[in-house]
Amino acid sequence: MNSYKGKLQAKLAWRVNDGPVVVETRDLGLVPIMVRSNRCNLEGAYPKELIKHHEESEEFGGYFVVNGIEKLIRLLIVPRRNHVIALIRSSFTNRGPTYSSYGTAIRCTRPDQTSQTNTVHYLTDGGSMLRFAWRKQEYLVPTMLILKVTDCSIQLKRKKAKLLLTMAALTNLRH
Amino acid sequence: MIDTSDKEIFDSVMLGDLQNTFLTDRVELMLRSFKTYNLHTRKQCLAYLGEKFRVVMNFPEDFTDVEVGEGILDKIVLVHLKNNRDKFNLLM
Repeated sequence: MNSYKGKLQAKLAWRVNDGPVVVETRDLGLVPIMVRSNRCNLEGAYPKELIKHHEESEEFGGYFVVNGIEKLIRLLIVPRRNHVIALIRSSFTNRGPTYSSYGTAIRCTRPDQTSQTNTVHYLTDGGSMLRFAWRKQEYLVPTMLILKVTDCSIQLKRKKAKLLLTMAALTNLRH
Repeated sequence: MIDTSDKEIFDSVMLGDLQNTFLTDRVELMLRSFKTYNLHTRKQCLAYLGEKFRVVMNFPEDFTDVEVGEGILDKIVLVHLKNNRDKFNLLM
């Protein structure tokens, strides 16, 4: 079981107050190297050279070799972060008897760019539910409960009534 | 800290457009149906939320229900916003 990898080293330099600068090189372990990247032995090699090293002449690169298996890193397409998206999705109606196909979703990101998606469902009886996933499990909470617990004190400024207005507009369109 | 009143929620949804009976009906219904929970203050709501999600959230055991509720706001609801007022406004 072999991987195509290289050593990752870090040079740490620190100084306490006005003391001398201490420099230390630390091993950070082994990291897979992307084939034909600028850390790879095959970087910019011509077909002839590739064949000389027992590689395919048209080697494409861009993948990693981990435990003898070619691994690809794939980009995921995700909704824009921190942006409310209004949705009409028929699968929303499967969530319960009063669920309509209307909803809004926002993918919120934390400072470390991990994200949490909040979806607000519009119910046919006029109510709404907030949906979120936590540890692979989905939960639904009445939106009003969240509205009540999110803070509140100062006079409300005129703000776009994003949630309910969008939904009302959507439903008006339908009628 | 003053709690969000029903009037405040109503006003912030309506934005003065009281002729829109479609919207007034919806908001009124939401506010009215919420009464069935019998929760009057923000503290009570937080405690209710915290109590329901205590098991799932895995917070320290000595957290009160209110603290768990606040933790949920922190970790789940519109996590890109730091303060609750902003969360309220966006949710609106």
